[in-house]
Amino acid sequence: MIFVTIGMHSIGFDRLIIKMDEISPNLDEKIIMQIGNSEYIPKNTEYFRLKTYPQIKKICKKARVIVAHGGTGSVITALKQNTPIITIPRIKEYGEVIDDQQMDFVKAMEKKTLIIPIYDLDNLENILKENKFNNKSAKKDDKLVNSVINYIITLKE
Amino acid sequence: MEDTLEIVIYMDSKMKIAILVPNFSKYSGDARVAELQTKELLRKGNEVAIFALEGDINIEGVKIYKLGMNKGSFYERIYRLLFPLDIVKIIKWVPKLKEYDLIISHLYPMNWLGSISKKIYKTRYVFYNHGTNPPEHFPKLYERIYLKLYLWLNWLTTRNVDDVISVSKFAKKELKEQIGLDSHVKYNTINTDVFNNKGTQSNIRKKYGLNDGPLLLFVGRIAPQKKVDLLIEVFKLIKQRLPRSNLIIIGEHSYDYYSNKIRKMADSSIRFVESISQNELVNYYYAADLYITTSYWESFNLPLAEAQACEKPAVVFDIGPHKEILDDNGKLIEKGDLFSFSNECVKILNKSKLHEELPYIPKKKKICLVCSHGGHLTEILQLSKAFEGHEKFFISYDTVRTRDLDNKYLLQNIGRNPIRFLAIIPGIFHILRKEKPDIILSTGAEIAIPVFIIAKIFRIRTIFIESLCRIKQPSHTGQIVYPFADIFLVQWESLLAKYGKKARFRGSVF
Repeated sequence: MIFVTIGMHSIGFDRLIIKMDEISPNLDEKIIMQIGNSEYIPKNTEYFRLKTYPQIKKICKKARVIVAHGGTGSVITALKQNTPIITIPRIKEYGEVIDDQQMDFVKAMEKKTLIIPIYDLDNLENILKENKFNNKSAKKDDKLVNSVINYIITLKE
Repeated sequence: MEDTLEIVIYMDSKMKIAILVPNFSKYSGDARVAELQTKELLRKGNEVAIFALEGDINIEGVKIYKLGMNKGSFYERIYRLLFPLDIVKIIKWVPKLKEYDLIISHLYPMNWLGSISKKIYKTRYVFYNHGTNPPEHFPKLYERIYLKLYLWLNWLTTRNVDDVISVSKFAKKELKEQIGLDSHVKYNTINTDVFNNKGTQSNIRKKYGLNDGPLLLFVGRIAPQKKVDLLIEVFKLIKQRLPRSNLIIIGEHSYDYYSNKIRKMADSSIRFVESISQNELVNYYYAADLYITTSYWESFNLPLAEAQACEKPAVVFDIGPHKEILDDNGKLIEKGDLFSFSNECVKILNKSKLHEELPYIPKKKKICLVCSHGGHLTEILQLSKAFEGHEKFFISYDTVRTRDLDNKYLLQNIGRNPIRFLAIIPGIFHILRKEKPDIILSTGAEIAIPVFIIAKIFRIRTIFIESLCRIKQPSHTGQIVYPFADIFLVQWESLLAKYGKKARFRGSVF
């Protein structure tokens, strides 16, 4: 199963939803899309607008691969479920987001080989037809958690 | 690098060398370095004499001249600073240095004698740099002024120096920054005749009536820059996990107000030991299971090196020269992170699971978590472990997802709408006044802005963590919240450059 998610963003991400809907007949696999505030309504795939976080996590866990926008929430959730994630950054020029931070984020995560980036949607179909994804799973690092604990316990009254 | 001293000092063999050190006593680290140096120079056939203001160390075959000074830590410090005004002493002692080929001065104010002799008799003058505490580490204004003057006088008395030796790369770098003086590096050596692992276990535990729980040790002056108060805080955290732990603190008390504070913090599992000889000291290193120091500043850290010579593990902050000196048994901890420090100590102390170990239970605090409903919420939830054992509530936007959270206040999404922004202010004011959280933590986005501003009015402590998606460009929220936040963290090191000094990088949420 392929799970497509564009996060809780107030703006939709029609570019991705349209593309996925268009290529879905060529993919011999079930597709579920979370379309948020996108205007386009998929014709060929299952979809919903929003679901609760436990439900989203469950779907992420079941999925073979996740196709998502370049939001931190989607990427962290996928990494936590150990599901490979293909990431397409939202672009300011297309009115999909208010700045190009997703582009920076996707590039930084690409450097760490934690995600599979797509900068040109025309490549999506071919990449999805691949069976194996070689991205690393995220290592659990308690450094930030321990720092926050330290700040809480050393709080001056 | 190790040969530097040889290049500087042993240009000619069989020299007459004067070693100048303010306090030639057993408890002074600088004196111990001078003592070893004296012995080494003697072995190589030189003639050595010590010139000290005071001291109790004796070395066979070495003449020790005591110049004398007023007692009492306050007078001592003033006297040292104003030493050149003691014209009588200067006139009496400078001519005595005429007959020497080389003067090695350990620390101000001995530099005066070196500098004046150099001027009058052209004697070779070497300054041995043990570092100077940065003035900003001291809480009292007069202490900071004192140290600034001290640094200036160091500069003044080293202008005609022939060579400078620093005890670590860090000390070299700091000297260059403080007074613009270049130097060679020679690490201090340890007296391995005394400090090694060949001795027998002594009965230190019996002497102090200690139980068989873990024994931790700190050796060093009880002074603000050594952060002995943090040492005790760390020890309390360790004791929560390993309740039978003991701590021995060995060191000279030289600041009354600070010693009083420290004694008030300590309970009966912490023993203070003053004035012991090197031969006794080594027994404490043997008896200890772990050497710890929470010092924020060192130029070398002799006790750490001694503990390591006795093959003891050590946990220290990543400050000053510790990177250079710590061996493979040691652990470097991010400066100020007491929690990780205590965790590391427990791990080392209970490696073989000999002691009863309890889970860490924090003192309950009320934590307010502020975030918008999407990725920012996902990020804050990754830190859940940090809030365990505390009372917590959310301030977020009202969506399908946030309705599932426990303890929450859900507000209308303000986005970029200034009218909605103003409209939620009274609500936030009301929430914070009612809940009175101890700490507010946010990962963004704009919802943090009104909360952090109102938190400032209520004097609630705040932590802001810039979102994981901010790699090189700061967020607008981050920029606005920065001056209001007590603690400001970024999740990519590359973003530090875009923020001020307050910003820190301490890892990321995944």
